[in-house]
Amino acid sequence: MQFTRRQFLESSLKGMAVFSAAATVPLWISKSAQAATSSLGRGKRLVILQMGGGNDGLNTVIPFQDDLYMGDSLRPNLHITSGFDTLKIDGLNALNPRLAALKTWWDKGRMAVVQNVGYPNPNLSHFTSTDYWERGMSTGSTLQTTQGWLSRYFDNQCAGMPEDQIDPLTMLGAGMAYLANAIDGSSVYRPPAVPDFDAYVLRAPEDAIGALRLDYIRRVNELAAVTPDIDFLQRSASVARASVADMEVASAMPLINAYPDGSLGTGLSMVSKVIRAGFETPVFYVTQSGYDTHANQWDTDPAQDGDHPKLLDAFAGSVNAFLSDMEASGNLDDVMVLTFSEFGRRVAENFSHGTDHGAANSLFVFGGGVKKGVYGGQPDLSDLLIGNLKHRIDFRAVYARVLQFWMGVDPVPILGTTDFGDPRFGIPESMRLIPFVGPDLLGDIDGDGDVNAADIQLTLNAALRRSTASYPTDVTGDGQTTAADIQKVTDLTLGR
Amino acid sequence: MALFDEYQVGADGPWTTAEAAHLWRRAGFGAGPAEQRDAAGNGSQAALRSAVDFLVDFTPDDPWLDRPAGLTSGGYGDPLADLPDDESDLGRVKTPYDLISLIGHWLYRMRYTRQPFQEKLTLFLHDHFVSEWAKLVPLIDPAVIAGNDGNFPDIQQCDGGTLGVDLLRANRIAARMMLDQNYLLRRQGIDSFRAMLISITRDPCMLMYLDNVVNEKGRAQENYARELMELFSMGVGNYSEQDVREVAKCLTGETLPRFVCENDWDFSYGFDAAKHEPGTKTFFGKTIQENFAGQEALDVIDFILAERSKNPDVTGLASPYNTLPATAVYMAWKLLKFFVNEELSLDPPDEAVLELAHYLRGTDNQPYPKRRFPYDFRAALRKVFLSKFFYAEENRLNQYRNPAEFVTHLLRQGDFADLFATQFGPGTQMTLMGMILFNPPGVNGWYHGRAWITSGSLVARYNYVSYLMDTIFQGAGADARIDALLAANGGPIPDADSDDDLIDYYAERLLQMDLNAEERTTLRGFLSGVDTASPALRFRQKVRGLIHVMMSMPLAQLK
Repeated sequence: MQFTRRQFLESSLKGMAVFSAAATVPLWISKSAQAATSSLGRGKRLVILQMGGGNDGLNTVIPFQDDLYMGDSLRPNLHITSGFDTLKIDGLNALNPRLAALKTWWDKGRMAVVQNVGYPNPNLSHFTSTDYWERGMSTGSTLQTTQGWLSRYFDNQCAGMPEDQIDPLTMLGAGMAYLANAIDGSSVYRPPAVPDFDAYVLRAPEDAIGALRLDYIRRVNELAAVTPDIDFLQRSASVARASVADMEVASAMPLINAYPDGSLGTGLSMVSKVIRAGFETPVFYVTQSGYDTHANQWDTDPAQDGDHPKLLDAFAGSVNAFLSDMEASGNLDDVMVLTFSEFGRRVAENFSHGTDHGAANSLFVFGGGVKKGVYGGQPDLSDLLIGNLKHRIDFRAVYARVLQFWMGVDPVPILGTTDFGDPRFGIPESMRLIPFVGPDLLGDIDGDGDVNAADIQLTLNAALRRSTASYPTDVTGDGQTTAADIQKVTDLTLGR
Repeated sequence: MALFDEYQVGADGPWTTAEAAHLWRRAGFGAGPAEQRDAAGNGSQAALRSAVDFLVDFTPDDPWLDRPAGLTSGGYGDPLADLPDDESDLGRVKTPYDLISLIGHWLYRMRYTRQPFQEKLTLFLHDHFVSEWAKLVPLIDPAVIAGNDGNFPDIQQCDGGTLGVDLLRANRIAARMMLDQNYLLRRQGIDSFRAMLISITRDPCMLMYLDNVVNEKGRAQENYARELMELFSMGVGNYSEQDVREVAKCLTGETLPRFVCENDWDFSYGFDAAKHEPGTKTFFGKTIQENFAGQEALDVIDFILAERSKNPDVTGLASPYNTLPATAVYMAWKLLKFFVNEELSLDPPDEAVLELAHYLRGTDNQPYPKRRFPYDFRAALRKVFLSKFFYAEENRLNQYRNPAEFVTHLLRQGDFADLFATQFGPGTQMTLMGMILFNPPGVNGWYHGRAWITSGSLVARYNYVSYLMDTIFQGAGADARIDALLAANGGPIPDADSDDDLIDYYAERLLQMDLNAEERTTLRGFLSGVDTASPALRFRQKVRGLIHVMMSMPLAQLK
C-alpha cells in the first residue's frame, strides 16, 4: 500500500500556536512542526487497553446458561449467579454486574465481545505470554520478531519517510513511564510514554538562564551521534521535547467526564484530551495492572469487594468515561478500543479464593466501526487442556481484522500471514469467524472459493464445538441447502 | 576458558582511571575522582586486582552504616508504639515506616556506603527475587484481614482484640517486612545460591507476595512453585506443568503460622505440618518421599539446582557444557545481562553465558581460591570484573544507567541526606523515571537496557537535576549549599574564571569520560551565556546550570 503524505500547512500553522503557548520550549519549532504522519490510520484511532496480569474472562463475560459455570463443580464460590438480569448481551452471556456502566455501549451497538481468543501451545508465563501478544507472534508462528506489532504497522506504513517528518505523537503510551513493547521497536521512531500531564513539563528557573539551560539541553542532544546508543538517546530526547509541548496543549483541554483513579483512568483521560485537542495520533496504548488474582479474587463477605470487582469497577468507569468523552466531542465514530490480557485464568477456582494462570480468554472491542455481537463461540468448559479453556480464535486474527478493516492496511506484511487456522475445526482463517469490524466473511469458510454445504458443516462444527460430528445442513428446514441456511448459521454463530 | 581470562594490563590494554570508572559504574554507583585515582593506582596488574578486591570483598554489612535499631524479624509488637525517636528527616530514613522512607533508607545506603558493590548486588537480587509493596499492603491491611475472610485461614478475628488495625499500621508492618527482606538479600547475596533460595522461599514477604502462605494440602497453590522455577532459577522450558503442580504440593505448609493480631503481629516463617500435603511427589521424573518437617522444600531446591538444561542448544553441545544445569545457565545469563551486557542471549546461550555457567556450577575443574561453593555469585562477579570480556570495547558504555544509578550518581556529588525521606525527594522522583524501589512492575522485575529510556523518563531525569539544583537550592542557604557541593567533592575547587576548568571538573565527576571537541564547545557556549552582574552569583549559576545540562547529555544516561 502506497503511503501518501498529506499536505501539512494547516497542521504546521497549528504547530506554531502550540509552541508559542509553551513557554518553556521556545526553540524547537523548526523540527517538529514539519511532522506529517497523520494520514496513518486514515483518521481512525486505535486504543490498545492492556489488562495486565491475566484477566478472568469467565467472570467478566458470564456464560449464564452454562451448567458447568453455574454449577458447583468448577467455581462453587467464584461463579456469579445473579445480579446480571439487565446485563444480558445475548441468550448465553451477560456482563459482570460491575460492568453495568458498559451495557449502555452494548445497547448503542458500540461494543463487541470476542471469546475463545488465544494461541497454540499456550504459555502460562506472564512475561512470555505478554511478549507474544505485544509482538503478535508465538512459538512456532510464521513470524518471529522482537518488534511490537503496532511498531511494525508504523514501519510498514512509513517506510522511507524523512525522519524529520515523523510526527512525534504518531503513537502514545499514556499513563505510564515505560514504553509498551507493542509500540516499541522501530529503528526510526520511538513513541513518547507520558506518565501524567503534571509531571510532563521541563523544569528550569523562570528566567533567562533557565531558558538558556533548556536551550542547551536541546543542543547537547543534537550533536553528532557517535554511537547507536547516543543516536537512540538523541531520538528519545527529540521526541520528549516535542511531545512536552504537545502535552501542554492537550492538558489545557477541559475535563468532560471524571475518571477513576489509577493508571487506566489517568491514561484514558489523557488520550481523551489529546484527541479532543486535535492531535491526529492514530495509536494509543493504556494499561491497567493487577489482574493476577491467585488469591482474594472475591471476598466471602458480601459487604467487601475482592480484587476482581475492584479492578472491573476501575475498568468500566474508565472506559465509560472515555467513550462518553468521545461521544460528546463527536469523535466516537473514529475511535476503537481493543482490550487484551496475556491469558485467561484457570476454569476451576483454587483454594485460596482465586484462580491460577489459564489460557484462552475473552476480549472487548468498543467504539466506532464495531459491529455489536458476541463472536468466537461459547467457551467450552467441558473440553479443557490441563484445566484451561482451549482457544478457537487466534489473537492475531483479531489484530488482522483491526488492521485490515479499521486501519485499512494489508495485515500480511505486519503479521506474516492471515492464515490463523485451527485444524481442529478445519477453519483455514479464523479471522473469518469474528467480523466484529468489517464485512462478514462467513460464507466461504473453507476458503475454496464458493459457498456450499461444506461451509455450513464447518460452521456448525465450530459453533457447536465439535470436530467430527456431522449435522444436517438444511438448517432452515425448507428441504434444501441454500444461502438462507448459511445466513441462519451465521446469525446463530454470531449470536444475532 | 577464554572470555573470562584475566585482563592483562599492557597486552589487553591499560589500567587507568577510565577503566576504573567503568568498573565502579558497573559494580557500584559511579566513582568520584579520588576513588578513580585510588582504583587506578600505578596502573599495574596488581592495581587492577586490588581495585576489584576492594569492591568485591566486602564484609556482610557495611560497618559504617548502622542497621536500623530495633528492627528485628518476627513479632513486631504494636507498630504504633514503636515510632522512631528521631522524627527528623534523617531519623525517618534510618527507621523507615512507609514506602517513601523505605526507599529513602536504601538510597541512603547507596549514597553513603563504602561498599557500593554490596548495594549493587542487593539491587540485582531485589530485581530477581521480586516482592511488590503494592501487593503486600492490602494483604496486611485490616480491610482485608479484619473480617477473617478466609484468605489467611489462621488469622484470628481482629475486631475483638484490643489492637485496632488500620492502614497506618499496615504500612509500618509492610515497611519492616520489606526491610527485612532487603537485609536478607544484602546478607545472603554473598552466600551460596542454594541458601539464598531456601531463605527467600521462607521469607515472609515472599510467602505473602507469591501466595505460598495459602498453599495447603488438598489446595495446592502453584504461584510460587511456578515463579521459583521460571524466574528465580531455571527459566522457561525446563519444567512441565505437571512439575509445577507437584512442586507446589511439596511447598504446602511453608507459611506464616503464627500470624495473629493480638498485639503481636508475628509474620515470621514456620512450617505447618498439618497443612502439608501427604504422599510422595514426582517431578523432573524423580520421586521424593513425604516429609512433615519441611524437608521437601529443601529437596525441591536441590533438585532444581541439579536439573540439567533441556535446551537443545545446551544439550547438543560438546562435554562438559551439555550437562550444565538449567539454573547455572539462567543465572549466568541474568548476572551478565545486569552487570555487563543487556544483549546477551539465553536461548541459544552465548558463549559468555555458557562459560560463566560452567564456572558458577563449579564444573570447570579450575581451582579458584575465591570460590567457596557452587553458585558463588560474588566469586563469579569477581571473575567477571577481572576479565578481558568485561573491559572489551563492546562492553564499555553499552548499558543504560537505571534510575537508582542515575539518582545516586548525582547524590554522591554532595550531601542531600535531609531530602531522602521527603515527599518530593529523590525516591519519589525515581518513580517518574520508571523505578519504584520495593515495588517492581511485575514478578519478572524491571525491564532494563533501552527500556529505561522513554520520553517520560528522560523528562523526569532532567527535572530531577533541576529539582536538586533549583528547588532545593533556593532562598537562604542556597549559596552555601552550592559552595558545600563544590567542597564536598574533594580536591581543588575549580577556577571561577575558567569555564574549561569547570567543564573538566564536572566531566570528571558526572560523565567520567573525555568530552569530544563538539561537546566541549557546546558546553563552553552555555557557560559563556550565563551572564549576571555579580561574579560570585555568576559562578554559582554556572555550576547549577552546567550540572543540569551535563546530566541531560546522552552520555550521562550511559554507564
